[in-house]
Formats: sequence, C-alpha cells, structure tokens
Amino acid sequence: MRLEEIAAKLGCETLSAVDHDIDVDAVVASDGMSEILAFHRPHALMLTGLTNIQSVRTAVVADVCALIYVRGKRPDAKVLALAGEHGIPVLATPRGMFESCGILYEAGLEGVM
Amino acid sequence: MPEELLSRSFDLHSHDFDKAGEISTEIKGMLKELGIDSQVIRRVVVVCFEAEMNVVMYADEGTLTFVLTDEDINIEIADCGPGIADVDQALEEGWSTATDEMREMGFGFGMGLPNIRRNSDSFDLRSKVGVGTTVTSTIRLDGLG
Amino acid sequence: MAEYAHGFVIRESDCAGCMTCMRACPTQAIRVRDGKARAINELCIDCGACLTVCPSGAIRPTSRTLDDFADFAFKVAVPSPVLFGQFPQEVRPEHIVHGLLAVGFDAVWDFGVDLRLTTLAIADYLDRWDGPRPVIAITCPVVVRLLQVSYPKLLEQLIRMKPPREIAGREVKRHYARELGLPQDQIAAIYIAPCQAKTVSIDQPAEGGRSTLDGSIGIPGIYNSVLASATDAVKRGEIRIDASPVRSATMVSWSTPRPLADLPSHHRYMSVTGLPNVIRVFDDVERGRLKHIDFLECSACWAGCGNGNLTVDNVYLSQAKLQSLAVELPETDPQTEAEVARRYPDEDFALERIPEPRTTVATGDLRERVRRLKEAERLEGLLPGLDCGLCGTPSCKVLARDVASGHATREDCVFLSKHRIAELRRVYRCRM
Repeated sequence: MRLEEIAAKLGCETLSAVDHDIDVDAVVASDGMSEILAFHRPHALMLTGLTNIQSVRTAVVADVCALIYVRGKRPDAKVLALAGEHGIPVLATPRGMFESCGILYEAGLEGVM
Repeated sequence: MPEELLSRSFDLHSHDFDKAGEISTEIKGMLKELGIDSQVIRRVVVVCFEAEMNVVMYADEGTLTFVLTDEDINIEIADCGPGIADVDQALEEGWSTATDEMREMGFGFGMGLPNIRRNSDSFDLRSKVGVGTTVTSTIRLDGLG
Repeated sequence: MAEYAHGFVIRESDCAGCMTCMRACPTQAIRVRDGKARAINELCIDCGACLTVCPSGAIRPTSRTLDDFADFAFKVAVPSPVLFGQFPQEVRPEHIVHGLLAVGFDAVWDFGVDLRLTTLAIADYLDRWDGPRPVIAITCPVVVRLLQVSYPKLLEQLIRMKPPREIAGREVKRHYARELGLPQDQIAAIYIAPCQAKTVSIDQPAEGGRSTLDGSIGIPGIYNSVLASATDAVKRGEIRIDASPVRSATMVSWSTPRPLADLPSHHRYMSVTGLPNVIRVFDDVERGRLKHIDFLECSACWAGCGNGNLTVDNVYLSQAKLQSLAVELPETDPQTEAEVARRYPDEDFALERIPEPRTTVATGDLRERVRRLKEAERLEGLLPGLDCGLCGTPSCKVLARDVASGHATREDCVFLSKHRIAELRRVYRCRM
C-alpha cells in the first residue's frame, strides 16, 4: 500500500518532506524501541507514540521507510532535523496506537513479527 | 587467530540521552565505506545501539570498543555501573529493572540484552555487583555464524 | 584491473587546466595534474558532462567515419530514432534515408521493428520476473555504467535483455547474409548514434563479450552530407526509396523522455531523465522505495536520448518536429506488426552475461581497505575542508582518499605544502 493511502486512512499530518512514492508492505508498531529493533524488517513502516530523539535513531538503525507518530504527538525540531538528515519521512496521526493499527490491519497490511 | 585490522574506542556517559545512538551511526558509515555486507552491518548497528542505551541508562561511565578483524567484528561494552545481580534473569526477554523515566525514553522493556544476544554469533556477559558489567558480542563477517 | 574504453579524448595541448570538467564530473573521475585534466579510467561512466562544459574544446568525442568500414562488402545504417528529428521540417524520414544511401550506406535498417519487438519482450519479461522491483532498463549505457561504479547491488535489477540496437545488429547480419549470400562478417551493421556513450557500449559492452554491431558513427559525422543530399531530394522531388522508416507514433516515442509509450498499462512504468535525477532515484531504489514501480527507464541526458551529446539540433525543437510527424502516423503500423509477429517467436533477447560491478571502492582485500580508510580519515582531519580544487581533485575528501591509495601526495594541498602555490603559479604562468 502506498504511503499516501496510509496517510489518508489515518488522517495524517505531514511533518517533514514526504515522498509519497513509498510502498509499504509491513508495519512495526511499539513504544518500546528494543521491540522495534528486535522484530524489524527493513523498509517496514514504524508507528510509535514515542517522540524523543531515540525514536528517530531507532528508525535509522531499523532501516524503516517512514515514521508515523500516533495520538497527535509531535516531536521537537531537533528530532525532525535528525529524521531529515537521514531521509526518513515523518507523519503524525491524531488516532491512538490501537486504532491506527486496527485501521492498517483491516486495510490488509501485516505486522513484522 | 584472527588478525586485528582496526580498533576504535568510544566513551559512553550516563544520562547522555541525546547523544546515544551517534556511535552506532558513525560505525555504520565506516563499515559501509569498507564495503562490509549490509546484513552484517545491520546486526552490528543494533548491537551497538542497544549497548549504548544500556550504559546511558544504567551505568555511570563506560567504554565501547569496536574491533574489526579479518574474520569478524567484536564489540565490547564495559561499564563501571552497578552490576547485574542475576545474569540469567537479565537475559530473559521482558525482565527489566528500568525506571519509569527510562521507559519514557522508549527503552527498559527487557529487550536490550536479549536483542544483543540475538544479533551476535557469540555473546558473553560478565557482571559483578558494585563493580560493573562487560558485554562482548562477536559477529562474523561472512554471515555464517 | 580491467581497461575500460571511453568515447572521448582529452587533448592535452588544448587543455587549459581550468578544472571546470573536474567539478562537473558526477563520479569524481577527473583529476588535474600539472595543469592538465585526466580521467580515471574505471570511474568514468561516459556521461559526457566534461565534454559539454569544457570551455577550451579540449575534450572531444572519438568518432568514426564511413571510411573506417571500407573493408566490409555491404554497409547497413541502423539509425537511432533520434536522427529523424535532427533535420529541417521539410526533410522527411524518407529523404533522410535517401541521404544516408547517397553518402555511401548500402541499406538503411528498419529499426522500428526491433524497437517494437523490444517493448513486447520487456512486457513478457516483467510478467515473468519475480525478483526485486523495479526492473531497470538497459538502453542508456551511462546508466548501466553508473550502476557498475556506484550502485553494484542494483545490477541485480537490471533487465537481462539486450538493448534494441543489439537485437537490430544481429538481425541486420542474418537478413543481408541470407538476401545477398554473403558471409555475415562481410556485412557491417553501423549504428548512427545520438551520444558517444552508445559508441562506447558498442566498442566495449558493459556485460563483456562483443556487440552485434560493428561500430557507430555519431550524428555530426554524417550530418552535413546527409542534409545536402536530402535537401536536394526534397527540391527535386526524387528519392531512391519511398518507404518511410518512421511509420508509427510509438517509434517516434523512443526519442522522447518517455520511450516505452506502448508498454501495456498494467506494468507501472516510470521514466527519469538527467543524471542528477537518476542518481536521486537510484538512492531511493537502494532504500527499498519505488518497489511499486515495475519498470524504471533512466536516461543520463536531460529530456532523453534526443538531447545526447552527438545530436545537432536543440532537443525541444527536434522533439516538436517528431511530434508533428507522429500526429500524422497511426499508433501501430501493419507492416511493422507483421514483421514483429514473424520474428518474435524465435528472437533471443537474453543478455548472455550480467554486467559486473567495477572494482573501485572495494579494491584490495579487507586489510588493504582498512589501511586506506585509516589513512584517509587521518588526512581528512588535516585538510581545510574548503574543496578549493587547487590540489587537482574535486574535494578534500577525494584528495584524502587519493593520497591513501597512493595516487596523490599530501603536498598537493596548498595548506599543507608551501611549495604548492609556487608550483601552481609556474604551471598556470601567473606572475604576481
């Protein structure tokens, strides 16, 4: 599924330059960064409620294709700058983690575990 | 005996949350330039990142030593932290002594050490309460661990 | 190390050592030593950027003339579709064919058939391919060489099919050998090339082996004489062959920025032109983006092959001319389709070998690579980071790597050697 379709389904706001030409086939969702590192698959979409700098560092290490912050949370400018440096598109959805995952699962996306 | 080709040492400081992860990024860039296999790089980077976070969260000071030989990559993280009382328990997934503050950082869910072990071809953890902890991880370059 | 053939020469006597080419080179393949530019053989991808920017005209494409093929009994021109947009509007494709025959070719090949065959084969290939996507087109030789130098991992995604000019070269020989009863090696298949990169790819295919074509002549090499006879034919209303080689709109599309106009629409197709754009897109492909694209066509030249460095006319003018020609033409042509239907079942499109990565960054064993990395990092710390270019390399980082691999010395930097400026004054005859 295209990132732009996902963004539309979750009502995402775009926080950094987003290349909509990204094709997502799997999702990794957690507030625990080690969970993401343990179960990641390269180029998965990452969903998290954690907005600190470690969320982006984890995204870099786990080689995700894009990062969506849930529950309307927004990272600060420093965090967005690091994401930009590594070319990771960042979005934010007002929906919570449970709802977001439900919507994406319903839409046919699979988890990485 | 594998021949040592390159060795780098990095200092780790407790509670330096903003900087944690920089070492992994630096190591990633270096290994890429050396033309190391991307799967191997991915595993090394996960090990380094988790180790960095461990020291930053639990210990006072520590050192990450990265050694590249003609056969493998060795990462040793030695800290002078509080030490781990029950090593076997610490290696169980989900077991953690993290504080709420650490969990707010996205870490401390009992996955760090198991993650390091999962990505290592050989793994060793030695700890003495009141002295410190040393984690060693070896990842083979040929990916045939 | 393999020797790579290139499609240009830097004439030392004309080179002013101005470093313009060195700064323009996208693979950082040019160094300036003693006031003269030199290209590093294995890094050069034949994009022609240096040739375009050189203010003193010292960098020139190597080219051949028809005389170089004098030993062949029968000479066949295989014209790139780009050729047909290079002449004044009143000079129609059939006049151009007339001109080619007048300048000494014995026949002009009906290349539209090979182009159509290639599109069908690509569509089939995409239906069968179960490897990583997008599949990358092989038509632009610069793109193939860029993959070999900078994106070795993506070579796996390169389509394992001969480009249409190679399919044509093979058929030219078969066809005329049969028709004339001549041995195949007496028949020359000569490509009329819009860029010097295609010349290189015929002299030395990236995948190794030999081209089915015997060589190429750049458009400028035949332009004036073809124009003269073609214009004459227009005036007199007489032509030697009245069959146009351009009979369908899809053939015209091959010289536009979106060549595969007739690829079935269930294949998601993306076309990118201009080397900086191609590099950006390859970075994305390497990160696993663009997986939803089935076929990726990249052309190193802005606006496609019509802007090759061996074209004569302005790319937009030539495309406008071709488009007005295409308006009069049907989408497909029955004569072409009949020939395609006859040839398709037996045609072998497979590329015998996959191009291999060029040994550049990863030269030497790990021990040697580590030694160079350490040395380069140490040196980079000593250099000013200004990228002034006075050392003759495009950046401080490149100088550090050159020194580490023994191709330069740290004294080349004006900051690290007090003699360097004096030396440059002498070389550039600067009196202060």
